[in-house]
Amino acid sequence: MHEIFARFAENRHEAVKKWKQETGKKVFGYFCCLTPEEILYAADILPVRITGTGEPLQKADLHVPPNSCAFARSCLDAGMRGMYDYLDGVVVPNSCDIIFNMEFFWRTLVPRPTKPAMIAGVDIKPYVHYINYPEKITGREVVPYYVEVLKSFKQDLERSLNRPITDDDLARAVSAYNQDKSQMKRMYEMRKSDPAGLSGYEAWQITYSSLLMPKDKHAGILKGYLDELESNGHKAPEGVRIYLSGSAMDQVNADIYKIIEESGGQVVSDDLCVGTRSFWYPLNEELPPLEAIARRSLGTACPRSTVTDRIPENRWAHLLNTAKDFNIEGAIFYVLKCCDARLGEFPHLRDKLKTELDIPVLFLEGDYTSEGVEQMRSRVEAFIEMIEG
Amino acid sequence: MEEEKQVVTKGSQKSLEVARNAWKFIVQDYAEGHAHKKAGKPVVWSCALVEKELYHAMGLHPFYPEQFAALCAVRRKTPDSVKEAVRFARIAEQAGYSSDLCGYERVSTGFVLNGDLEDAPLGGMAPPDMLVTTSSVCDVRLKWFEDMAQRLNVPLFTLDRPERRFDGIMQYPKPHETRYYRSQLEDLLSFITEITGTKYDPDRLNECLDWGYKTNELRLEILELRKAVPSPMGCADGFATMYPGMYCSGTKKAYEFYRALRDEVRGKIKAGKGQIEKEKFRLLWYGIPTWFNMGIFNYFEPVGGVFAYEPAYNPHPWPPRNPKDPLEEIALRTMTIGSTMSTTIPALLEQCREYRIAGGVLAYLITCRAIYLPSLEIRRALEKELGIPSVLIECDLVDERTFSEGQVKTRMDAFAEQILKKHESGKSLNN
Repeated sequence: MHEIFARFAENRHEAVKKWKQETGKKVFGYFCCLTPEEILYAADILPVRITGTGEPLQKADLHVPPNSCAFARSCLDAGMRGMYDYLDGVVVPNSCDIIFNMEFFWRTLVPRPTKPAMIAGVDIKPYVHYINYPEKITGREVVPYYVEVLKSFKQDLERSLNRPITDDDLARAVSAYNQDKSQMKRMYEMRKSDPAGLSGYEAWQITYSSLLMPKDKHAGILKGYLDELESNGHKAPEGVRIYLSGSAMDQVNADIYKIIEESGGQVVSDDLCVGTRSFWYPLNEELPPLEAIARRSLGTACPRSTVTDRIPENRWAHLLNTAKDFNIEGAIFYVLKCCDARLGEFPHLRDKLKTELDIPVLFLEGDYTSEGVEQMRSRVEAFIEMIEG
Repeated sequence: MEEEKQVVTKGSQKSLEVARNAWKFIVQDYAEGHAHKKAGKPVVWSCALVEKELYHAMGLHPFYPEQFAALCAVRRKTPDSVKEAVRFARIAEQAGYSSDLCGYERVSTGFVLNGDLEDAPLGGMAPPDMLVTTSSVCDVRLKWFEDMAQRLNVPLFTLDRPERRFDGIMQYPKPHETRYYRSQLEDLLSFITEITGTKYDPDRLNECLDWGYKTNELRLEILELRKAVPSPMGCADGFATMYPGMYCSGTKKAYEFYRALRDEVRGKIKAGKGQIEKEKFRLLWYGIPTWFNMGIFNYFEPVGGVFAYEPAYNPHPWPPRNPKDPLEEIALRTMTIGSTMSTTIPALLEQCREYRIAGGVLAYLITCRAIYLPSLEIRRALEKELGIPSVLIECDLVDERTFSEGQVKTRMDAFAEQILKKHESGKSLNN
């Protein structure tokens, strides 16, 4: 593994703080892959994905009920404990019932490093920004609607930063993001071979680090790294080809990759927000940049979104394509409790995988702790043994 | 196999005649829906916060899986069997639907999976010609209706109401927000036309909106009347009488129902009659009720406590009628409401002042994220801003297997004691 990817993936806060100190630039945190992070990048801000700790909660449990998403509660707890005190702002998209409310919780509970700039009762430099992302991602008026939402976000940022964000800035961001996306796709292409060009865990570390590093830098290092892997013919160990689908996957629960790969499996593709969904959808550089960003964001196959089809099967279509492209032999669904969109779609996707592709499925209910992941080891081993026959 | 202990639950005692007879309204509406289907006319399955006037204008009879699940929470197939909600939830769970999923979703999914749509209370929901859902309230409604569309092979339309964030109780939307919603209303009408052949008639829609608007005004008037001391209409009455307003808005019969209710409430106030003889303290019920155990609303009556106010299902003021452009009117009305905590918590505090609430019972509905997520912040705000104590009641909305009677009673007794002590110490209970 390239040292810099591992450094960001394994010690994210220190790595980002160091970057901030060295560059003197601003850092914003964000939730979910739907966030228009390209606009932040265009404003010379480093967008970093907010994740949790998996540790017992110290502060958030007094405010967010125990039934709700363990990942979101942990993120908030980390914020309340000051672990994100280096952030200059936070962006919360309406990406599910729980994350949507992180706008309120973060704004009211997490100490902000800078004072509000109040003028006539209005904070002209808001610390927490809300993106009113649509839940239906197709339809004749959805793009114009969402472009307006992004325009407002851009204007808020401009006012906060006291600088314009020009179309040229946005175009530069779109281009940098596309460069990284193309390297990330290249990495996934390498996993189509049997055995895969690199392991699932390695690919996860690279993906995760892409959410914490400036995209141009990430793309450059990744290109060199993949060139090197290709030239020396590097391959991951052979294993049962596994598709991993699930809720938020960060340094707390990414050990599921290690468990799968230590049990004779090899994760070759995924449906994860810290995975394919973070880079799969390219930006159309022919379009006005805000529209390109809107369309990229709306094109993301998030389990929570719906489409205008008479009988929506977009989630199955996405899974079917991936299963075929990556020659999947088994599917593991790792779903956190409270992740209603995923829990709701699971029976249908499981039935489709079995009846149409004869692919066996394992369902694991996660609790967002590393101990909980470890407890799944025997079930994963049995599942892979069963496929191996 | 271990035999399951039957949970002891009961219905509520309502204080109003109209509320006691509301059940007949529901029975009749289901019967009309079945007759409508038998006559070859189209049926839609939908949910609250879709604008029902559209259905009545387009000749559809609506059934509501969420309301149907609540119905299943109070009915048994035979006196010895489990509640129908439990029977259907089990079918869904056996098919792989997590027990953490919304009770409404599990019950209606189990009903669909059961295969025989007539094998259910009131003859079940008639087979749908289409499904229409909304992104309002929660994500579950999207995935749940998608899943039913897939299982029933019936076309689905989703109305997306972007979740606006603003401080305070209400705010008019921006033009692009109204435009987005309006475009979807137009598409919904085309969708209905394509399936049923019925063309959109603005005059007919205006007629339905007139009934809907007048009904809403009556419901707002009733809410105002309910502020009276002693409380003339409690939460048991409120929940029992929400069906016509929530699900039949746009019809004359809904208007007539609330006119009778308004008159009865007025009469009680005039006569100085409350829900009980001697009202000592008034309570808030936050959240959807525990449909399988509505008797909980009478629990505090022996010690002088009445449930006086419940924010769920209540109407909000609509923009004025706009007969020249009824779709714009609907878009504006729907986009005006906000459901973030920045909106709902201040609104709730204001309502507690207006209804002179002394304590809050917060339904901590373990499978309803929209309801449980703000509950701790609501409890904190009630205590901090108004000095109002509250208690959390933990269970599902319709699945009584999650209800622990002993635990709930212990909590409620301690809560009542806390309030009565305040009462005995001479502190005002009417905030």
